[in-house]
Amino acid sequence: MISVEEYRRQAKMCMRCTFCKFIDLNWVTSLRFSRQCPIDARYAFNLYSPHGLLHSALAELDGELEFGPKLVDALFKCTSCGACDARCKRNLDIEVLQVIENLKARCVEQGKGPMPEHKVMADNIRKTRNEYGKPHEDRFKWLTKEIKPAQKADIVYFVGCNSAYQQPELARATAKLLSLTGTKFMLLADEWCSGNYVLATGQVELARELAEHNVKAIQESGAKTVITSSAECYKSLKVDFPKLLGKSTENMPYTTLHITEYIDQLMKNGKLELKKSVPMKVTYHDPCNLGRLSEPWQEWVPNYVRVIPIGKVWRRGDRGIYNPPRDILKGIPGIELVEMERSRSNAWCAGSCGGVAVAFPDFALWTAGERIEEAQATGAEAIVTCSPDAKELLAKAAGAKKTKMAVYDISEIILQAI
Amino acid sequence: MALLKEAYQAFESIVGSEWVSDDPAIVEADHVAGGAHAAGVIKRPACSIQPETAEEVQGIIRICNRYMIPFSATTTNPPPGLEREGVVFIDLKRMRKLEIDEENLYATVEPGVSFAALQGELFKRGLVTFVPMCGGNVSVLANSLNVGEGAISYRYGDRGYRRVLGAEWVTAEGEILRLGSRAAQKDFFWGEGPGPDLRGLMASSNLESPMTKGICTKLGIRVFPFVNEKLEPTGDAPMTTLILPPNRFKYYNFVFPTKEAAIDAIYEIGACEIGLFVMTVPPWFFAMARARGSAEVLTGAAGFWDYWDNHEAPLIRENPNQTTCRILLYGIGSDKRLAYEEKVLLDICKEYGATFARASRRANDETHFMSADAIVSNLAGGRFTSVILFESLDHAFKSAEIVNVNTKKHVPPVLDDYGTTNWFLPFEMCHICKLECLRFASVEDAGELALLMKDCHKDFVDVGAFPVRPESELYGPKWENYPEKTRKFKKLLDPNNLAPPLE
Repeated sequence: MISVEEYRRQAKMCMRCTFCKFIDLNWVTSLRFSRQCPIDARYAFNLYSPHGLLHSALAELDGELEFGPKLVDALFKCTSCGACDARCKRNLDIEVLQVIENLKARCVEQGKGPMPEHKVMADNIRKTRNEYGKPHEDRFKWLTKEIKPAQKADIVYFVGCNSAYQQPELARATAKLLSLTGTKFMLLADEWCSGNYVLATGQVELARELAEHNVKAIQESGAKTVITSSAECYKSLKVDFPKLLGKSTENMPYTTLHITEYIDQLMKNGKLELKKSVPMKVTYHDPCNLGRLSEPWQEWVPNYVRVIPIGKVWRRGDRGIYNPPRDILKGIPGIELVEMERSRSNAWCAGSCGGVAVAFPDFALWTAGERIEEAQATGAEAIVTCSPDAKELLAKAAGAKKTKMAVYDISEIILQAI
Repeated sequence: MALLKEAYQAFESIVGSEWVSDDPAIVEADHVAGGAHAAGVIKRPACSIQPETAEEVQGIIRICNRYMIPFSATTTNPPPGLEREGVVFIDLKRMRKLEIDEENLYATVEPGVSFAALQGELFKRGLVTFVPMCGGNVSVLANSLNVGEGAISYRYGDRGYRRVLGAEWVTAEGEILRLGSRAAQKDFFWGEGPGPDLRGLMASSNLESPMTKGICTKLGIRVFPFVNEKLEPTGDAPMTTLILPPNRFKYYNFVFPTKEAAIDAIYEIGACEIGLFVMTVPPWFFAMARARGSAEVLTGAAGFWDYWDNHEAPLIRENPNQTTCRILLYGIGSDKRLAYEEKVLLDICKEYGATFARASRRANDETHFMSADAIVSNLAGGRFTSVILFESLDHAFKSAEIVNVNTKKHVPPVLDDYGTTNWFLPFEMCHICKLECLRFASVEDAGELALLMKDCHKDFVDVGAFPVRPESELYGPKWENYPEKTRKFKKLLDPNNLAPPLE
């Protein structure tokens, strides 16, 4: 986490220009889909906005504001989707998301947060190593006789809680994909929750414990590459673990790949061809954790000369994993890919980020519903994503809106084409 | 100061309990002043309200009058008048209706509609508006009632408030006034209407906040025909841009040996009616453009300063009078028009001794149509202020020297600018010119910028310059005692003095 001095400096730089609330302005094509911050769009009060939270951070530091119910509500309804952060860095380079994350951590430190549901989630993880409180020994219950991970391999498949417990078909699909492409992979003997939502809800100590355990488990496995199909776990492995351990991504003892990066590489190297036609008009939802939040973490000790941050490498959201999933979909015969108005670093959060769906299911569903409406506006018959959590919520929202919009994880589509 | 319980309940009865709050965190976030322009002590509002219709705004204002509660309203900008105790803050951002009348070339907007959203909708219809240089995220309605202007105002011929048509205005007493054609029928097409034109009381140009006598809830504004070709967005932030159709647009950069020659040439360009916009280009613009980038180490502030110190500053020291200009040639209607404009421009450059005049390789834009990079100026120092005037091109040139002299007194040069950070942006084919003098300071020195503004305004009075938001005690005596007259209007429309004060 950033130092208090740096935290104050960043918060103070906000001049309330409100760029943080809109998608990149060059990409605005309509009034309906021009905004990007879910809490701002839904609740409208300035507190429910990135600049409102930045100001609240300053006010709290200065002793002018306490963590009362409204501030806590706004803070933990923030999905930490990073849209504001990418937008601010279009022009100003303020570390908006880091300020919000620190504010959440301070709230937790003072015993005023997180939300009760987040505490239950954390307790579940402490007891059972997964957020749902299901038996740890069931983590690999999704395995079938046909799927045979190796005892030892250079590649580890990091499954993640959602695929392991909630949507085992996604874990199976990913494992099948790896097998069908001739990839020798193993599973971690003792995989724990990656802690994405734990960190996003300010519970830093538990998040660090999870990072330490998982990194140690990966090291002990001897694998050098970790593949995951969960956008949330991907971000944890690539960004949060080094951050929590005071390192940069490049100094971690493993390389993280999302399954789409891996499949895309195979396709581009001529090692995989997707031949079967999947006739469908689809649109792709960029999960925040795979898109703008997934840039490598670069440890930086604040060091300024005049106003110049020396040696800092910025994470502005433009180096996320945007092309591989699109290139895969374009490479499948029969697929017609159409873009939503808010795509890539401009993507609207589906509402599943930051543990919001755990504590505020109605708001999360509203957020997902907005995405479904945007997908419908493209004329697509299906929405494809790379996050089990986003898929689950989007499917729920599609059902609630009584639409015919189908929702797929990309691994399911690839399997159809392979 | 807490609100009376009855007043709070009355507000709830109008907008519903979800949309009114006096929670300390809610009102703390509302009272933020933005940037270096913020001066004086501001206080937390007593409560914050989010109406959705003009009728709800009317109801709120009537309750304010019943209980004698001061009020203030805004959408994106920090609200004015928060130096008062117990203000009710009316946040208009839920009012987001937009209608576009393509045939009759106007749009009707509510306060929560941003320029970028309007522009995006207009592009789809082969129309355009000019987006203010402060950013496409700002409210069309609020900005148009005030200073509002954009680069392409050069061709489309007016400043923000001059394009205001019919309007719906809730006075500070809670009466809904419908101005222009909206008074008699449902459209907002016509601004003047029968009887006296009351728009000037509301669309107050530079003299005061537009809401000192009430709240405008709907506005008709003119929009303009545009090329049918699509301006294609491309790139991921921070490297996003709009690709301009090459058969219709061409950038030219040209450099004159002196500032005087540059100004004369710009006048001539206006006289020949070519270009979609023309402007001088302060050298720091180049450094700023190069500071944008993705992952390389020298981006952001570091990139700016590297480029400034090693490339731009030495050039300026070598040729302090050299002035760079930029024009976007515009083939409105046809490709032939573009070729004609190019020919005329090159003739002018030759006549006025441009030492360098060539078509830019640049075929894209992120500044003048969507104003997506408006706030990038802050990157250089953390804070900047703009001393802005609207003047004749000639007078603006003289006024710039006043700012140069005063800058030396106040701002320890975060940016040693050599007087070159002044930006001349002509409108209405050079009938008027926006002069924006950007001055930088670190976050810690932001207070000095406010003092710099004060000193400039003092000196502007003597030369008859026309700055944005002149201080009334300075300007009043020389300008027909206008504050006295506006106070009379204010009393008439806001007898309980509940809307934000005039100064």
